[in-house]
Amino acid sequence: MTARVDPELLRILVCPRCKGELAVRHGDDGAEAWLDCAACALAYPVEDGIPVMLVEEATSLSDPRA
Amino acid sequence: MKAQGPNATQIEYWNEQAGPAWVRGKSLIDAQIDPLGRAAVDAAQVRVGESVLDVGCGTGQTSLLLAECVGSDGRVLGVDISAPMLERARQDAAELPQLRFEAADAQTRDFKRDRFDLVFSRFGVMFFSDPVSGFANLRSALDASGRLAFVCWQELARNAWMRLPLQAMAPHLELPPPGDPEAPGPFAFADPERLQKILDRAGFRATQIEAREQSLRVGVGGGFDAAVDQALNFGPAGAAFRSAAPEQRAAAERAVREALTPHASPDGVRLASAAWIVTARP
Repeated sequence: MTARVDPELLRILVCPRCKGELAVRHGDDGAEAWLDCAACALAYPVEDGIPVMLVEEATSLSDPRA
Repeated sequence: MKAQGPNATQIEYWNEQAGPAWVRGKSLIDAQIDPLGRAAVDAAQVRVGESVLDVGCGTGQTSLLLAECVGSDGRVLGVDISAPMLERARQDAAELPQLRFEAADAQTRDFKRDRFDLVFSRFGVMFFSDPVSGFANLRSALDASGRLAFVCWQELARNAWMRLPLQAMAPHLELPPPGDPEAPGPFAFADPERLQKILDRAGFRATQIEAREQSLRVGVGGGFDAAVDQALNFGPAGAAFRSAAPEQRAAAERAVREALTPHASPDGVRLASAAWIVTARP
């Protein structure tokens, strides 16, 4: 089973770069896969239920991997 | 080009190099520094139902301990810049719904939406590129009635667990020259006056810095070889050891074995450490 992000944690997370709101994108298995910041065009990965809120580890939203 | 924050160097180091090594060495490292983590938890006087932020939680030993202290009515958020270490932390946390992890830089993470009764750290606050802004940001995570409690290392000279292997290896490896003692790293807060000033400037008050000397058990559970392996691979000389030529590595290993032998006991290699147990109010 893929780990889910704690809903309470999900509610309080913001983009570490611009402090703006994030949009949750789910993977094929229904778990949270990416947290997108439209303003910064960055996608923050969710790895095994752990949100990785580091700009260094983010992927550009224009990158096909995101 | 990738976007970068103020702690990009540390983030790369703890994700690419140190993190995976710490995951492999988790049980040994946990056993070694557990007494100092518990001393800091004792100083923090954690109560049932509280909310706790565990800064630089790594593979999660202190986060688990704190989650047990606050119970199911409390909550603990473990943050670290190392994603591999957090993935390991999560494996032990499944049974504790009050415990969560997030990969984030505590120096800059936005705490407007959540407040904590306690900001805690076991050896996780000495790596900020800008310590004053890092601690000011941690202060913003605290309730007005909250408190800060952490443990950090005193100077290298008083920490035989790292000094002895380092001195033994030095003649055999090309070690980086000793850098700025105030640069981010395990011994950045060795000077208590500097530490006090940083906390003052970050807005903390009623700061107490207490010396704690503790004999550490290195390699416990893995025997003498594990202690030698740990001494060779962790800390400032680890990278130099791993990239050295085979004959240099063999010489360094012989020297470390010799240096640790007098300290071997049935209970692991016993080496002295000295830390500061620090508490403060926002």
